[in-house]
Amino acid sequence: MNKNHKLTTSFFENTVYEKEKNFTGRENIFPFQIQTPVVTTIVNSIPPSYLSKDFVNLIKEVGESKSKLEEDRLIKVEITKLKKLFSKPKLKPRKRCELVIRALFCELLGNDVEFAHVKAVNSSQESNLFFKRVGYLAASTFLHSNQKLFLLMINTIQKDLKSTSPIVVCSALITITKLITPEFIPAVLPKVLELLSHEDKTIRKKAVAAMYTFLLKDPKSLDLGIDDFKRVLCDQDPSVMGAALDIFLLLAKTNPRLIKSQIPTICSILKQVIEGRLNKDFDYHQIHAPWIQIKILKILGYLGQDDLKASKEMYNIIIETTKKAEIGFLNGITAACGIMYECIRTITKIYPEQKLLNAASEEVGKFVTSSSNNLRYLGITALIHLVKAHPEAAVKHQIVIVECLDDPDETLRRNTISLLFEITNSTNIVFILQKMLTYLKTVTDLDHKKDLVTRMVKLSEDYAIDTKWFVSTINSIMELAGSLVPRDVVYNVMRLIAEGTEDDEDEDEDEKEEEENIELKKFAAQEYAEMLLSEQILPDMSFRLIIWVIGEYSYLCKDEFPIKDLMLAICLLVEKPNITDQTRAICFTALTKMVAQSGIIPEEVDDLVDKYSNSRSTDIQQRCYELRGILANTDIIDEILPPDASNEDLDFDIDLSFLNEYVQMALQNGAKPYITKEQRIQMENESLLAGLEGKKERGLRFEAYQIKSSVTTNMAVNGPSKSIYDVKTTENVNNSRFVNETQNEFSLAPNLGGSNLNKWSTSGYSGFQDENESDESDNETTNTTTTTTTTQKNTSAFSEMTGFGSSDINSNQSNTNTNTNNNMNNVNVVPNFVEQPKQKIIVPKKPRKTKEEKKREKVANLLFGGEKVKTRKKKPRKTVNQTNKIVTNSTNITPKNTVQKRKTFNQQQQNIMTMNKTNKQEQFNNNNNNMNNNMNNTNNNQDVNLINFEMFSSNTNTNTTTSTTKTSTTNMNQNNSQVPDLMDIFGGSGGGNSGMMNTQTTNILGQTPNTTSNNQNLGGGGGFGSFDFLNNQQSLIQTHQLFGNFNQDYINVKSKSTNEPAVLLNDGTLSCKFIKLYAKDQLIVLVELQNIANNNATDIAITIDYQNAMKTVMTTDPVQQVLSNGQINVGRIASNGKQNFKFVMSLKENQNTFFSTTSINFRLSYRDPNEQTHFHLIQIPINIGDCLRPKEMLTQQFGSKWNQTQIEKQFNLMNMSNIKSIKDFVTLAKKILHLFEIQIIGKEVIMCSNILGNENLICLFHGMITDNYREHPSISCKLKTNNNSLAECIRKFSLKEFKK
Amino acid sequence: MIKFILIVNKLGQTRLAQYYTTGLSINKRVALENEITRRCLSRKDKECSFLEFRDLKVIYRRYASLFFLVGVDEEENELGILEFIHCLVETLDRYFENVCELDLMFNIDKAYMILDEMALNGNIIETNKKNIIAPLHIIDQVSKKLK
Repeated sequence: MNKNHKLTTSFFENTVYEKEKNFTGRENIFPFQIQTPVVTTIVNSIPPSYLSKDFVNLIKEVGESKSKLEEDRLIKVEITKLKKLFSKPKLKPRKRCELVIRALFCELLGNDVEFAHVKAVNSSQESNLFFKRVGYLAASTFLHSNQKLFLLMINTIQKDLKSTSPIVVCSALITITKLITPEFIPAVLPKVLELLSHEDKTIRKKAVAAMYTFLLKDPKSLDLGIDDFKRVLCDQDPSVMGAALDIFLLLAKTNPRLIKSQIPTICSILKQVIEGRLNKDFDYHQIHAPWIQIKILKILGYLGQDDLKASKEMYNIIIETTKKAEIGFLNGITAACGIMYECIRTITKIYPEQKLLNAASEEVGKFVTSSSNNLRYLGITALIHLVKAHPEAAVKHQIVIVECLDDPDETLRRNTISLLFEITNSTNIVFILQKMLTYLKTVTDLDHKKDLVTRMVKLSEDYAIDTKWFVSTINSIMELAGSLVPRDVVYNVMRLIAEGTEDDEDEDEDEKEEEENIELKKFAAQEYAEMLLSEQILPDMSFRLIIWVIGEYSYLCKDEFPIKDLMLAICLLVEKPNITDQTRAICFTALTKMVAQSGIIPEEVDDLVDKYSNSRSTDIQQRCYELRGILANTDIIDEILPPDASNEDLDFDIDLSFLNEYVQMALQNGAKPYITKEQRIQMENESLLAGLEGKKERGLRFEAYQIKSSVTTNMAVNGPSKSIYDVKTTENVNNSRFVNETQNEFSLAPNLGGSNLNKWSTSGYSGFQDENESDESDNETTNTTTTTTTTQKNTSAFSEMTGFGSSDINSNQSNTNTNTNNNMNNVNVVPNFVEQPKQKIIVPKKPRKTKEEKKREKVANLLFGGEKVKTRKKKPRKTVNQTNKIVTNSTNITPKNTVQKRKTFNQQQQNIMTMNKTNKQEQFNNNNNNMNNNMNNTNNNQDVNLINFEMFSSNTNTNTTTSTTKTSTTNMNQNNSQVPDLMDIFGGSGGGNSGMMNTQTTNILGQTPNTTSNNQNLGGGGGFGSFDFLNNQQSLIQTHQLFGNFNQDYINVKSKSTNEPAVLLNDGTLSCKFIKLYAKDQLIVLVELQNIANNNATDIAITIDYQNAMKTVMTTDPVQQVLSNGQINVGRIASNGKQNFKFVMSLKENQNTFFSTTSINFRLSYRDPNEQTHFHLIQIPINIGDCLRPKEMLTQQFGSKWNQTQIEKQFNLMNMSNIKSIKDFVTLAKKILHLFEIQIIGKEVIMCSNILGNENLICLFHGMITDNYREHPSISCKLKTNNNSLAECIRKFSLKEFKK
Repeated sequence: MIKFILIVNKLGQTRLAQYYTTGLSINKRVALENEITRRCLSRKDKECSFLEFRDLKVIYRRYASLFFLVGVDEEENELGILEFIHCLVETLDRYFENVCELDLMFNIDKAYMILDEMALNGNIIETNKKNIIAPLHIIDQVSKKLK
């Protein structure tokens, strides 16, 4: 067996074979390989005597194993054996050493041998040279992943550095180079410095290597001057000098100035080397110390970079080295080829010198024309460097380059493609791109493919010969690797098609250009129509482009491709399972446009619209309704969807100057002026400094908001001055939000609201609210948003181009036409946009509407519920490279139009104000009705999950309104300008002074008790609110009911004891926080992810473990959808916490299982900049308290329930230090178990709650203070439920929580 | 700079692996080795001895049943490394006297020590075979006394 094994494993067992191989395979590359030692056919491997028989057998078996699997199996057995052996007490050093070697072997084969780590460290502490060396060796291999143990070794290393045995000192030095961490450098540094002048050259060499390690790991630890480095460089031993060159190379890269003075020394060393003055032992295949030559050339390259003076010093020696190497090169010595290649690299790197460049170009020729692929590869690489300084170089070798492109060798092809990128210009771009496309087909490596696509796109952008070519090139790239094409590029193509070529020259060519542009559009439409009809499977992004273009320009190619066919093809596409909702949404917009353009609406489209009107995606729903709406009003089609208008400007008044009058009026009436963001931040800082003791409570306010009825009354009383309230109100709302934003905490709410979740909220259209938020954060959005409010042109295509965020706004915008109630919201918007009170006030002119204006208004009202003024202006054409073109120039607005706009807006403003004056209360009611209707609608759509979220978002909306009205009253007190709206819940500040609020509210309540009961809409909720107020108790329930004012639904927020988001994870790179929101029938968990490091973490992915109870999972980012397996591919999150990624999970009761859930789990993985992947399993704890909801009930009801309910649990809370009276207990119980307080009688209380609104899972609670003999009272609790495990859960939970 | 030196046989079984970068977990390491080996094994004799893999350049050389692979960064001289591999093989051959796969397995500790003498910190530090082998002979004298 042994012999047999030898025959297959010996490297040189067969000289003939080796020779043959050399002469066939690598004839020209390695002619010197045959010089390798004489090979005998019979080789006997004798295992070393210190290895046990056991291990020798294992090695033999492993050696004979035919596959990795078999090998793995053997090693698994060995590891179990080793574990046993290692655990034996009193291991003899010799045995231990052997075991460590065995462990080393197992580790090598890819197994974790953590159990051996300490033993390896122990072995290094032996005095026996061999044991010590093996110990060090194993430790330095093992401890790469377990550096804590290095601490145990540092002592031994220090001792060994002082040893008299060179081997021991060297072992210690080698270990230092492998394991030292910056904090331990000082511990060994002095000794290592000493060893630099040790008499033994091996020790000196290793010490130099250790110095290199120090320099690499912590450059500051060394405070050495150039002389210290020079001393080691000029060491008489070539090996030490060779090692010192590594230090110089490192310095040349990091601190070239330090060693520039040494160029002559370095050059003279190189001269000595090439003249063969080193010991003959350093020759390698007749070449003098090739690696030292290469190192020096590299150093020179760095030192001469961009430095003429330094470069001049080295020109001669480089020429000389090249000449010497050339001799070896011609003899086919690989090492000489290596030196020559390095010479070329150095020449291209240093300050260019024509003579050298010519020489290099000539040498490159020798490389690329070689028959060896290795040399050709290096020739191409050298060319890549050379063409930058010497562009003609490539031209000489073009034939070879083309040959290399078609070479079967993948590495060579790949490198040649890289060269092509360097030599591309506008004349060869067509050919080169063609070649690259061919190559792209063959690439399988995804990383490489991605890189390639990016570079190809860049090239075609930079050197595009014309737009038509550009479009078709991008199309071809997308067909091959569509998913890798950056999104920007796709939008660019859309824009390009829409706008045509750029030509700034004279106007005369306009017409010709126009023709060309139409030609381009037609061409694109034809291309894409063909692609669409071919029904090939393309990536999502490509579909979006195709659909958009067809939607816009299908009429241009209707002769070749009947529009009906295209519409049907789009219908087919919509139904395909593998496209995303965004693409579907774009499909519907395209259909809308096509219907508008052609006037035909095929049955299939009709059916599809019907079907998707009930879609889960609100965006799609929206677009379907839009399509329906437009069909119903065919006369406005031309107005809203004129053909080919995507590139026309939408004019808008950025300053919203038409509102100045309104603002001014408000100011005169006593409203607060607008405070800019900067001022707000400053104010916030000042107030923080001023009152640290009056520490503002952040997060949720627990005291009640004033119920709305009182406000209504107030207004009725104050009659004429109502509008003042409005202004104050909105300002305050905005202020408080801004403060929150500057706090920069867990501001999930704005995004929840801002995403496409809440376009249809219970209060109707909520788009304006969103816009307020985006306004603050993003200027671009502001502009688009403003567009929405003021203009009505063909925004849909426009915003599609700008991204999804704006496409949401787009749909919001048209949403308005169905909802006339948004005037209310309009009021909120106003002060937000008007940033400058100082702005000139424009006196309104009496609206004298012309016929045309009226018509426009009609259209506008139909569409937006408001009005707008349109001006269409041809946009200046843009270059291909421009990506962000959303921001339009406000100077485009002609004075005439502005006036028009003002007129109409003033008109509207008046409307609003009248509404406010007379109709406020009614509007609230309307609002509420609307909400209910909306909810019902959605209910009918069988989309239960969606409602939850819509309700949720509507709450956000509603809540803001609530605070709005409330603040108006608070304001009278001038005490509390910060109003907590739902934002506060997410960790903003603005908690405000709760006591003050409370009294305030109570007062008002006292004044207006009747209103409360009279108002039907506020009915129950309001009643309970006041009930709680009168008890003057802060409780969660108040908040519930407050939020419940509008739609009987409530939200309460709590996360642990604080109301701030709890941190789940913070590993220095990613920070993950969560917060729980308690809705009536569900638990909503919001998770926010932030990248807090200053590096990018990439490939972030989240996988959520779905549970029975989990109903909905969605992200707030419309782009990052949750996949069906619970995965969210987040990708990248901007560093330094600049960007948040959030997702929401909602949990509902499901088959009585939810309350036993203990946690929601998800996995988070990401790759750090070092390409390391991190995994985290994250658990969000859920307790029974999170699932309990207060259940209102009367005492009598409680009594009858108590008798009906079977399961009873009793427990005592003993010696409660935090409870003094039954009221304290009730407060605590409300907080912990969310119980509804039914009645307190003496020392007893009855309370009730249920699980997430489920009437079948009720919890009846009876508590009594029983024992006053102790220091603190005890409470005897009885609870009854109809589920045993629920009762047990609550009991355990209470015992735990009440004690805290 | 050298990132790793790897010796695998034609079945893809690792026979020696030395890494000069820290922080690579064992699982990652195994995956990397498998992937690189797979790619190297699939290459033909006539094709060049270099392989671009992620941000690495792998330079490999085959000797009978064993593949020697060296992963380097962009800056390293490919031919220099190619010759370094050969120098390593020559050294192993001189030390083991006609080295074969089994020698490396039996003397895994010695093989590592030879590597340590030739390269540190990912730099080629010694190519003089006499200098490389001298310390090993001293250690051998000690280890041979062990029974």
